[in-house]
Amino acid sequence: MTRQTRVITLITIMVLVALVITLSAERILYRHALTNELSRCLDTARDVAELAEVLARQLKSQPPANSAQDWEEQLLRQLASAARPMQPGNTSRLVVCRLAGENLELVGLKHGAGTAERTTIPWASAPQPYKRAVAGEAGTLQTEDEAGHRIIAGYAPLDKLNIGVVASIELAEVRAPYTRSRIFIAFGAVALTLLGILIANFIMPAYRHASELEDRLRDLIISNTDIIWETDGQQALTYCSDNSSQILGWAPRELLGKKLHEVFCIKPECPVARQLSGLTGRSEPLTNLETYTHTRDGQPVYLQLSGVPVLNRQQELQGYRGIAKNITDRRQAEEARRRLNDELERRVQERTAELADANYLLKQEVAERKRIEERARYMALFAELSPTPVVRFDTTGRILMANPAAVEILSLRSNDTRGLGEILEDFTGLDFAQCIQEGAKLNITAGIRRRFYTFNIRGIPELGFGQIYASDVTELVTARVEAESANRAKSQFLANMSHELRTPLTVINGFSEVLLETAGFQPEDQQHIYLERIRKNGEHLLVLINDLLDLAKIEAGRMELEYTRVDLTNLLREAAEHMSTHVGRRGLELFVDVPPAPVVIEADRIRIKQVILNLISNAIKFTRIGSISVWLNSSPSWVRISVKDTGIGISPENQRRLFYPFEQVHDKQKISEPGTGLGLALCQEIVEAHHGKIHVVSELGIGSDFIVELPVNNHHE
Amino acid sequence: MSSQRIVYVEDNADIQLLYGEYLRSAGFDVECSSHPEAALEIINTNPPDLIIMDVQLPDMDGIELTIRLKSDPQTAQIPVYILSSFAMDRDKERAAQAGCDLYLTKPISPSLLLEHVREFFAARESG
Repeated sequence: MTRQTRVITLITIMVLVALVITLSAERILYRHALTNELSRCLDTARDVAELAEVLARQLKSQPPANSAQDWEEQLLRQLASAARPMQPGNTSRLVVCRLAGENLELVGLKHGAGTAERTTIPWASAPQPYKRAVAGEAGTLQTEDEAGHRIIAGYAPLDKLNIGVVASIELAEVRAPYTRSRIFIAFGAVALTLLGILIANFIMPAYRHASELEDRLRDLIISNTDIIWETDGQQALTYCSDNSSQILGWAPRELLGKKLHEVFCIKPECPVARQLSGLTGRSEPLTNLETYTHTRDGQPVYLQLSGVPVLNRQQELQGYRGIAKNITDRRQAEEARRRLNDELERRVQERTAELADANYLLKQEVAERKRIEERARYMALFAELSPTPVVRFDTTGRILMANPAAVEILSLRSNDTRGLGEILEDFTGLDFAQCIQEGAKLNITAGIRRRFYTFNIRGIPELGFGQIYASDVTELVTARVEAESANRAKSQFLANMSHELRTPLTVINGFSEVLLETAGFQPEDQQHIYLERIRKNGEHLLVLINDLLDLAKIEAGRMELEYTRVDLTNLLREAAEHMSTHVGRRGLELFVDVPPAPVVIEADRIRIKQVILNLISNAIKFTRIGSISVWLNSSPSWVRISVKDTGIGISPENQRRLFYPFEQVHDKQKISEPGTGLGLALCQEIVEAHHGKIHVVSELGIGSDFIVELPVNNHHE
Repeated sequence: MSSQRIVYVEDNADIQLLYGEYLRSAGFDVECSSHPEAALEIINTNPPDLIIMDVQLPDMDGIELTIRLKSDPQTAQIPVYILSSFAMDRDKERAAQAGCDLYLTKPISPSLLLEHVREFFAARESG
């Protein structure tokens, strides 16, 4: 139902209700008036009847009483002059009626007339009130009179006389004012209807227009993607469209009361916010101000702000009203386009630079190519003339060129199409392409017809081929093989010998000990001293044999190092502890200086300890007075152990021979028992087996410093 | 005190005399043998509490002898001490694999050998 229909219906209902109420009121008033009129008629009839009775009593008591006819006439006359209708009205009648034979005589009383109008009507057709009054009843009645008018009547009888009084008035007269008011009511209803039509036709369209405008505005606001806003004079938001929730993440009610720049600008001090404040301060319109802010969850939003000042009649600023267009997509697209442009420009510049570079390189390459060709020509010439066998090969291992010397040793055929792998077994499995590409340098030694040749293979990537130079190494190889086999034989012999030596030594040492224990000699006895000598020398011989065995083992490649993680600080302290009595007996001092934290390396603990004990033991042997210091320094990959004494020192000449087996520094100043001459050689072997180094720094008369350097990590195979 | 019988297999007469006599003088019942086959017969006939042997023996070395002893359920429980002049790590390893209980390198001081033997019997007594 449209608004118009609703309004018209409403008005119609109102008119109808007004009509009903008015008519009902009229009806009630009319009924009330009718009742009043009836009782008044009755009162009048009674009053007149009482008066008539009084008059009748007077007339009866006055002698001489005339005939009944006479006094009744007299009564009527007196009544006519005395009685008056209660209400002046056109149709009011006061009638005295009496029975006259078969007829009823009606005497109409008129005020002040003194006479009475008389009519006689038959009893049968007489109206009810007259009949009842004459019959001695009193009451009221609505009926028709003798002339056929509708009347209301009050009637009362005269006591004991066949005379009644009837006061009546025509109903039409009673009703007349109400009938007249009905016209006014009808008129009023018509007027109201007209008013309704007027409203429907003139006011409603205006209202409808306003309502449509409102609907349209609302629909536009809802369908609009821009935020629509209003502020008060202080630029605080008083209205904001619902789409702020989607665009800014804030519902309108959360934004109301905030300043315009707080809502649409990221910071109050940003240029756009200042521009905004300036414009609003001067009440100027806002035109496409581009602002930037963040949504509730921190996403960037670009807005385009437009608005007009709202002024009152006194041209005072009441606030602003406007829109904020979401231009984020557009701005981001612009940004992306700008970046793309920048990127394109950068790439063009890069490409230009690359082209310039390429051009430069090309020129260089041309020059280089010329140089290479020159070189190749010289190489070819040199190879042709060289007595050294030279072979040139391609990426598949085929021979491109071979000089006469090469043809001879490799037994090449003319136009040989075999690959190098087919010509010489030792070349099979070589990746010639890779060799050339990487410029690799390889050496392969191979035996050909009882001679040995070392082939130096070289890839030359810039020329796209490789060359092989062969040299005869038969003498070298033979010598080396012989030396190695001799050395192995020596080591094996030493190992066997040391083993064979142990057996008699076991017997000598064992029986010396048993004799010392069981023969019952006193320590001061000559026999006891001799036995001691045998045993001591036997033990020395055992040390010698053990060292010899160790050395032989190393040289024979049979010493297997057991690598574990060794804490050198702990090891050095243990070694020093072990030697402390020895040192003390000689009146020397032994210092150990190691870091507080563990220094852990991968090594064979027993062998390294053997080295350290050997070095300390050596230092003791060659030091008369002073001290021996053991130092430990470490870096992430290497450790350095130093055993330094204040002994006799070693001459530079002797330093060179120090680490050879069976070499001993012969010196008159030698202090204690002879060494085996194997200790330092063994130390060197052990340290080198650990991939470390040992060397000595020494000065005669000052002392010696033996320095052992070991890698922290030993990746043993 | 239960019997403390030791069979000592050593082909070198001097060494056999040295260690065998030493242990005997210390109160142990030591039976010496120069040949592994003979030793096996002695051991099978009258199983000892402990066997001490050299590695280098005629016809059959100590390692093989140990393997044979250890693979025979009758003799597998008897501890075997090897007393060898081979000091190479490889030799020790082989002996350990064969099931040898203790590997000692000659020359060893007779008193030290005695200590080891005493330790063994003490451990057996208390164990």
